[in-house]
Amino acid sequence: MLTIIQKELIELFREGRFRILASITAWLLFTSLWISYRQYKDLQATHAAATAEERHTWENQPEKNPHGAAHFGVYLFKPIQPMSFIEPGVQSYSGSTIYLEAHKRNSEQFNQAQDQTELTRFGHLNPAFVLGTLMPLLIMIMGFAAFSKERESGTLKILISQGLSSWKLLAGKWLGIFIPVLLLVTPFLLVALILLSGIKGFSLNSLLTLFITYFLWYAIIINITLLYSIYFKKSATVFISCLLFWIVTTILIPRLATNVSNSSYPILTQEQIVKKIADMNNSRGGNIHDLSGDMYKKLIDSLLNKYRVDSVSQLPVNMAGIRLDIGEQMDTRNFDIIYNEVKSQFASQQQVYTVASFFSPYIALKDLAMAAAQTNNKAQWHFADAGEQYRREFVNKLNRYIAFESKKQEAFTNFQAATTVWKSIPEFVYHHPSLSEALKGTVPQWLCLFLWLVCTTGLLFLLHIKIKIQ
Amino acid sequence: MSNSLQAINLSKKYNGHTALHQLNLSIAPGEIFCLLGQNGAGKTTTINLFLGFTNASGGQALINNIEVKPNENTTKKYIAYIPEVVQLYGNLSGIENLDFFSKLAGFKYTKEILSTYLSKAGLQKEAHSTRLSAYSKGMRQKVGIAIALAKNADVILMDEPTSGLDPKATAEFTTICKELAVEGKTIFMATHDIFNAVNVGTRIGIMKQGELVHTIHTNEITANELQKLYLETI
Repeated sequence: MLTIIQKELIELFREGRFRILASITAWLLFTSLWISYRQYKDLQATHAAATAEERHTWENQPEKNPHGAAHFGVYLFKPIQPMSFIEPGVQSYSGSTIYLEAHKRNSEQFNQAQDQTELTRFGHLNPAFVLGTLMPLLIMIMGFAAFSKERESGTLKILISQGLSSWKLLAGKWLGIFIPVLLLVTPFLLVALILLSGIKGFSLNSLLTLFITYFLWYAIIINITLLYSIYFKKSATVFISCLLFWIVTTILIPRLATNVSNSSYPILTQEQIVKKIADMNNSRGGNIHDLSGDMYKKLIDSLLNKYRVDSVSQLPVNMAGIRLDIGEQMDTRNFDIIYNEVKSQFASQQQVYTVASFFSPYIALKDLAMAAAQTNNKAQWHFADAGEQYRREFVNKLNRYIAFESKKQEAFTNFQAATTVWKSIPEFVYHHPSLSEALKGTVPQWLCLFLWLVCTTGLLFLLHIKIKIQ
Repeated sequence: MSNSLQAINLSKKYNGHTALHQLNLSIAPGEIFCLLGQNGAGKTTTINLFLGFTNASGGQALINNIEVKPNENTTKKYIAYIPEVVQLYGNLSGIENLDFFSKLAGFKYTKEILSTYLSKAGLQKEAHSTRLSAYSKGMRQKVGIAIALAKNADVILMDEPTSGLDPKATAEFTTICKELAVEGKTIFMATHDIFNAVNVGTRIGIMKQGELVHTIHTNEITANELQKLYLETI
């Protein structure tokens, strides 16, 4: 088998076509890595500066009513995931900033893609594109003639007549393709590791998981290529079949899955969300901010009863603050209902992708790679939920400040908080989910890749008998 | 006298079509047996059966008195195969090709020994380290012979080996075959080349539709007579 591997490698490295293609792939791989890394560093610096600037703006507000400050709000800037420069996932399309304010749960805004040309829709040149989409093409070009050319040139018969067993030939051919891939990807992995090791929050296990998924994908592609090469007699037919597999799995099925998921489970638009919240407010039988409404009257009664006083002026709390606090709680309940609905729509869309991944392992690869890099929708939701939690806490704190710290006899609008109050609001600190948390729910994707690997390997072993008789 | 190559009622059917019908044949060491016949007469099927590439529908194929099936791993040690088109690997030199195929057969030779085999097969010394992509068909054929020599096989199976060779290359090939026969090798050659068959062979067989119709010693027939018999037979 070593003899076969050695011969395959010598032949391959002497092949001008391979040398050119491998050089282009390596150049694309390292160039995209470097460009993505530089972009990441720029974004990270911008993020740090914007976060510091925003905090400075918040802390340096003049004396004002705390509810005015809650409406003034804060911008949260999404931390950039360390491995996003390898696998950017949906990051470019999902918005980088959340504006937090009282009464509202705003969606993420300002994504990178919206500031770019239509060509952006064809995708960026990033390492994930080279590793996941272009590398399979190189594998197919390297391996499509593995058996068909031997058959066409008559060397297959000589090989077998020399006493070489067909499984040794198969294993030699397999490794003869895998080793060059390993030689191309391993230096990339090492350079990525060096770049990532200087970044706070980087997890080696995430990087290894990412590359395990890529190597599973490559193993499947090698199997498919060799299967075609054994099955079809002519190299041209093998190459066209490989190309067809690549087009169907990396372009057609993923796009088809997107269309099916979007049309079957459309996500609520921002307008629909606003309307739903308005409908929910209307249907709950009143508004706490309506000072002549039943809801407000009931609140006054309960407070008078609680503090055992006879009039609002005797209450030790500011009614405006209490009202705002309760109103916020009602709003958040509505947000939870609405956004759980949106999340379940995303989950339904994901189910379509999961089913589609059994027809295209490329989808499973992308899902797993994005999960490992934490650049998938799940990671976006994790950040959005953390932001919403922070919004609730800071608005709540300001409302309670009005309720319990303002002089009860003062009118709400006249009350102004000291500037120290702004500094007392803690900064937003975001903790990325752990790798195991990020990979939770990816069992179907792993299963899909392993199933493809096992089935194609099984088919190779069944079909390699055919090598002898042709 | 023991036989290197023997077929006993050897038959092969493909999807109901008879490719070979009850072939009985014995070839002794030192013999060069040339099998003539039209395309589809069963020549390549016969070679494939001796190589163990396909299962016989009936009868036996034996090499050095060992039945090919199910002992093909053993019988392969005794045979070498030279196909019609010896392409080999264009990105490897003659010596690298020979080294590769020899290693597959279990032989690890030094460069000097490999070079000796190539020279014995008639390949000029300066071509040994040249990549095969620069070789002519005749030169590649010589590497094919060197592979057979290096394997030190008792039996050499050749499938139309002179097809496409120029007269000089054919003549050189004929000389090498005769030298091998003198050394005691058994050569079984499927060919269309009647004149070369008479020239190189010790015995000639003519096949028609899977059946061996005639077997003639070359010292009993001239090329013209053979041509006439061949045309009458097919």
